[in-house]
Amino acid sequence: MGNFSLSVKNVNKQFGGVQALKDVSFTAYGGEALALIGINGAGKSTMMNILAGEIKMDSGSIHINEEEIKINNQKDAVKNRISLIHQEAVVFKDLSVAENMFINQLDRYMKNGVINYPKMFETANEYLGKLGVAINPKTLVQDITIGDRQLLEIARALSQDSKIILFDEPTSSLTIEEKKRLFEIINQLKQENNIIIYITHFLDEVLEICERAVVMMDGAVTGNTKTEDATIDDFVKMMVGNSIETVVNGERTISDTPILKVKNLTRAPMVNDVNFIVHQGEILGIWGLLGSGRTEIIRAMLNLDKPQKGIVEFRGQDGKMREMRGRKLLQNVGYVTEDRHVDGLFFHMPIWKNITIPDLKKFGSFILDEKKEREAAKKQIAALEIKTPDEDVPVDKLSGGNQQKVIMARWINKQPNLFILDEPTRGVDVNAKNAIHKLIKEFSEQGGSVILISSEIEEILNLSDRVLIVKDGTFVSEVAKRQMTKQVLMEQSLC
Amino acid sequence: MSILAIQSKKIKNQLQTNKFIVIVAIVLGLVAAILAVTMPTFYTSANIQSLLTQCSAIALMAYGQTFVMVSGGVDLGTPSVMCLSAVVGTLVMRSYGVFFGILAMFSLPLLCGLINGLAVTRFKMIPFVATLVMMMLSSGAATQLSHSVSTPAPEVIVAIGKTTFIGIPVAIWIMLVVGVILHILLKKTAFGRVLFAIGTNSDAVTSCGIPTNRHLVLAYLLSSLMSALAAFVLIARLGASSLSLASDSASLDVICSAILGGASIYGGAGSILGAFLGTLALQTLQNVMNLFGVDYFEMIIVKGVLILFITYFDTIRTWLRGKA
Repeated sequence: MGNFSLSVKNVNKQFGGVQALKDVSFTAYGGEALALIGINGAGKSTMMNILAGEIKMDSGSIHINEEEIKINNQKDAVKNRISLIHQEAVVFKDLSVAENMFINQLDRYMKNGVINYPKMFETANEYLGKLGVAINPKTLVQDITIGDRQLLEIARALSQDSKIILFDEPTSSLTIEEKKRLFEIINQLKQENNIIIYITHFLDEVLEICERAVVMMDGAVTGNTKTEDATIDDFVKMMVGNSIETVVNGERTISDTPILKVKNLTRAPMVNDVNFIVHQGEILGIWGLLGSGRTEIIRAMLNLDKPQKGIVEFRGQDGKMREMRGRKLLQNVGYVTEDRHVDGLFFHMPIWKNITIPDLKKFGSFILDEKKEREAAKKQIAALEIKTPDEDVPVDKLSGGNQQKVIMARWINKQPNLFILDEPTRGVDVNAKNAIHKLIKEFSEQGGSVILISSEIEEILNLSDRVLIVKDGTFVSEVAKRQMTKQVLMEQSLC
Repeated sequence: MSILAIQSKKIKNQLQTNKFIVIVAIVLGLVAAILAVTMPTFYTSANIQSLLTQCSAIALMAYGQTFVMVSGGVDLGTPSVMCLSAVVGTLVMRSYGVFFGILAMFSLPLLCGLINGLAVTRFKMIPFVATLVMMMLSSGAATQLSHSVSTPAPEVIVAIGKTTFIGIPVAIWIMLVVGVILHILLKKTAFGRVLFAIGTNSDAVTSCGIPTNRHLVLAYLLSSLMSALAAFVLIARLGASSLSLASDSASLDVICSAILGGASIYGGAGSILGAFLGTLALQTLQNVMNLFGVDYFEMIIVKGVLILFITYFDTIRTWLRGKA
């Protein structure tokens, strides 16, 4: 089995107008761990999902031991002994560990129409034993830790005789102990001549556990190297490209009048003793990897998730800073949430009702002046160039970009002093994105403050006056405008 | 998506929203036409008046129900709370006088509504369970307190029940006037708008800094207040309280009327005019079945089928709304 290998050749995949994968080729060998690295949106997860049969490629081929195989669905992946270990383990919390392990092969344990549990528990023990973990297979999954759930997924993969095991960001929610244990298991799997493909943001892990690394950027492979021949610096360069970015808006002088002060904000385990200040007229970027706690910090600050500790001060109309939290604070800021589908829009309601909702008092103390509401909405529709025949269209009929503009319109109409924008341009087209960027700049030029969270490094670079780097639920450093480059931000958040 | 496509979808959407009222109106029209041919005597003003009077209590409770359903909940306990209110009201009236009786009649249901509201918001119970518990508690308490015998209401109350204004009984006036007020409250005020928003996406309401829980508690309070008003209307008309005020299927009648009027079990839809028409349609159907000599148990089967049909229709409607 010395020549056990998995190759992908010239794989392409297009989503809508976006080329997610461009001619991706690489080979992974048995007994080795291959790291697949790149920033958000580089195409790593798309590649993994193709191998796991969760999405289909447009063109290209996949080979095992030089022999072409077809993967059209998850069943094909299992047949070819490929398993994906998800970032968040896919488990059924109300079932036992053993049931979870064999959920898609229960018929193997069926006898006369009922499940032979003793046999199932025994086999489950066998596989868990192979991994060297002591979990009772009868335990309900809701009672085991997140790390153990991940091991359960690995055991499930082993029980399906998988020889090619894909890990998608496996360490993002593990404790240090659990991480150590996972690495031991990965090493063991390597010794048994399995192929490991390991997706991660964390370059130190790549150096520790992987023999080779494939680097991706914008859907294409930009590097393929042995890890012993490369340094973290080399990887960062491959991940972000060598282009020297020009910062679009130059350094501005920002007043030092604070508008928001957060002290010792803590909500275990995702928010750890966070302190920061937002000044008047400033765009404060918050940059961190997925799962670093950026959204959680904001939610704890707004009391949407109750913090255990911390003080939030906000500047009132009279210019005095005073403690404020929860609903009071929400009433004074404009909060664009991370996912407009979840807690942003009212989908079946017309545009104008979506725009006026946070500020109904302005339209009447008891009976609402619908005409005035519609006029306010029309004004925003025109100002933000929302593409719609009129203000009566329900927002679910609009495109993603226009939906996001409706949320922006909602807050611009209310005119708060502080905008909190979590991924303000996620899933919107280029034109809408530019329009939203322009709005953010205009707002800050008129003296409004902005907290900007984004997964897009360009967005953070172009808009922010100052960037705070989040890691493990706290701010680890601050980057001023003149030091702002992709390399600096990536390095600070990775290392 | 082209502007034209959005426009046509918008019109389709509006039709879907109003379709319910159209359907209820058509059903009502059909029943009316059949009656006109087969039973011309139905259209005496006395008969119409009696039909509307019968509607009044159910309609009031369907109004309250509509507020709760718009917010995405359901209140199963409206008739039992109404019954408890009537029983306690008449008992207190007999011992302590009319004033305290009416006070008890309205304050007890408000307490029930407050408990419902807090159970749903503070203790995060699902509305179905919270109000089911309230339904059991209140009907149990009503049975216990009344010893299963009926309690007569004082003369004054009965006199109010017999009052007419421009020839129309006071019960009908209450149903109409309260209907108009609640229609305005639901469709024209910030309170109503926020309830629709909560029923559509309560997390988004919270992220706008609006006190979601306070609005929900008010909706349950309003529903209970309507139970109390229905209790008042009933004892004034019938001259006594008894357990039979709330039949086994009364809770379904109320919810059924609200849904028939366009309220959705998924929240975010409903209207007071619809609830009124829905009650009227259901009661007419019941009366017609009575006139044709359909027996009580067969009637329950017919109502069951009707509820099955309209809730299924509600599911389809919600599905279409998501699709369109």
